[in-house]
Amino acid sequence: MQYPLDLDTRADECAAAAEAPVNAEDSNPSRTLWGDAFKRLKKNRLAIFAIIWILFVVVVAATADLWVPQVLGAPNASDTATMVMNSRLAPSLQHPFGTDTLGRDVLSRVIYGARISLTVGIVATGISTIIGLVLGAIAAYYGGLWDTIIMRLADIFLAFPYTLFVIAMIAVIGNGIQNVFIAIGILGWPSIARVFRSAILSVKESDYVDAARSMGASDVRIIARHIFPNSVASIVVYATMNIGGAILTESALSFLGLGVIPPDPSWGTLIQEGQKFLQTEPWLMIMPGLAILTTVLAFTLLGDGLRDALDVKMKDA
Amino acid sequence: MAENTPLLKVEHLYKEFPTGSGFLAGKFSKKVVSAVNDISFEIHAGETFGLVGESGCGKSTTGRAIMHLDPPTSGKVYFEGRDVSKMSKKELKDMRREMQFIFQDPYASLNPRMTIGEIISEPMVIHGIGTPEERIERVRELLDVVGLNPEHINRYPHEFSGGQRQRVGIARSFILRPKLIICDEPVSALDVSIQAQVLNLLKDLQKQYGTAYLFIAHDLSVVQHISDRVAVMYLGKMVELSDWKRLYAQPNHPYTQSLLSAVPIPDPDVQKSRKRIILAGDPPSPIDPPTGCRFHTRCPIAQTRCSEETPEFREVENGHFCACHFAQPFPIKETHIDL
Repeated sequence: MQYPLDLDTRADECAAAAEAPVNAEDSNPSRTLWGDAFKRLKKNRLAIFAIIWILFVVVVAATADLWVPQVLGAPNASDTATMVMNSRLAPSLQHPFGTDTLGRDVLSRVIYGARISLTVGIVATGISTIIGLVLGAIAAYYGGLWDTIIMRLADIFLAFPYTLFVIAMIAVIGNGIQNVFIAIGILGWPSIARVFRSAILSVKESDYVDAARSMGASDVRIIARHIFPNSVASIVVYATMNIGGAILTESALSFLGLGVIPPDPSWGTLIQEGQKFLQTEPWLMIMPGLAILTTVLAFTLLGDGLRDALDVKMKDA
Repeated sequence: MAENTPLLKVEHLYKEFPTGSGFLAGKFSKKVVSAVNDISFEIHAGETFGLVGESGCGKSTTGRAIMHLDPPTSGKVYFEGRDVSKMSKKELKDMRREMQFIFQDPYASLNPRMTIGEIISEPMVIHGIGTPEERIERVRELLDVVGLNPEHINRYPHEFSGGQRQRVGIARSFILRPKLIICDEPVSALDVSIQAQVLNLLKDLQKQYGTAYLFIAHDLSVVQHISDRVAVMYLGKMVELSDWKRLYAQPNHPYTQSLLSAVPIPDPDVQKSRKRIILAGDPPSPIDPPTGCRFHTRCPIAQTRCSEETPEFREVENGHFCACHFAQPFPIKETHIDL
């Protein structure tokens, strides 16, 4: 019995046609992964707008002490002599966002509010990310009982309405800016842990990790060279978007009077103060509202752009 | 190494997986998937040993168990006469220098965040061989050998086609010049035209380096092309083992016969006049394998004895083993053949 399926003949026929050269341009030299990602990010216009806006807000907030009090007036100034005269002025060149009831410049207060909002966003996200990474990694690596305990705990945390949970925690530990960091940071870990756990699990089961194991690579090498680089992108993306979420939560807390203690300005307290005058002096509420909207949107768009940029399979689209 | 010590010797290999998952799995139910059941064979230096069977029959599990990626449940694996299960971590690492693996899916087996230069040189880095310059030199050499452009050393896997990626995987497995490479269906994910090229490349490399292959595949024509000896697996058991010429010319086990009759022949006249043995039904579940001969539920020549008594894997001719009570050369009785 014969099986005349001759692969050699097939090979000869197809040798010429197949295995076309990879790309026409052969000139691109060594490129790093993050360099590639940045190149892709640069082509995403929305993400670039987002970066510019975030940088602008950061620079303005960081340098506020140098020029804002001189140009616009101190955010917490309460000069009884001019208070009545300056109360709730409409936006003008001198006060671009108008003034509030106590005659304080709203733009100045929004700028100082940005400091608090950005710090809360970054610090709280930092806390959740660290807790989430550690717990997510433990759950994924050790699996079994650890996985069950950690992930059920995460489920329990996520079963509570988030804002209500934060409010309850603030009620227990007291309000004030540090406690806002802690409450938002600690309660934000479950979703990060979940994202990181699933990222690690999908990488852990992959053939290239098996390949590294079969070559005799150590656990440290497998984690550092194979698992971490392939699972960290999702965390970068998630954390970026999470900053926007943390800013929103802080605003909500301050709006409810549980966050920043007056007279310190925060975007949430500004909206809360302004809402009483919504019909007569709407800028008191709209301006800080716009600040929240644009900044949160910028973090979300940046996260979106990063997700696309960090996906190696997207090539140079 | 003594003259007649086989390079790899597998004795009564068993691999079982608990069913279900989670931390309670296996604690309450005693059910296991018996993926590999009592497999024994030897591979000699420079030889290609083909392992065929349909999907789910345990051929990949066998490869992974030999490599200690999933350590076997019981049974022994000897590499150059040394028991792999008794090796220390360091000895195991040393053994992995000599035994490499080629994966089925060229899209999943290369780390997307590493350049192909880093991927191919990784075994050298892991085993601390060579300076960075020497490694690059060696990678460039090998890229050339496997038919890729050495200038592409800094590219990422996603920039390559499936066939090219598999060449990268092959280059990686050859960089330490191992004595044995376990090829787990290295061509089944590729186009037929590319399959032939990759197989020819594997043959050429074998000629050049004298490497032995354990070649796992589900396609008999692929195995025929490359193997010296072929073993057929069914549901975790080896049913027939012989050198390929004898196996193809005179299959003894009814399962092998049906497999061979399914290989298409690119000649309409021959194809039309052939008798095909079509097996009824699907392979039984390995959680609850049939008693006696595992093939008796689908076997065209099964008798009562087959469901009661497990056939011995016996030598029917010199070097030709078969696990069937009624082993006989092809063709089997006409009445059982379905057109």
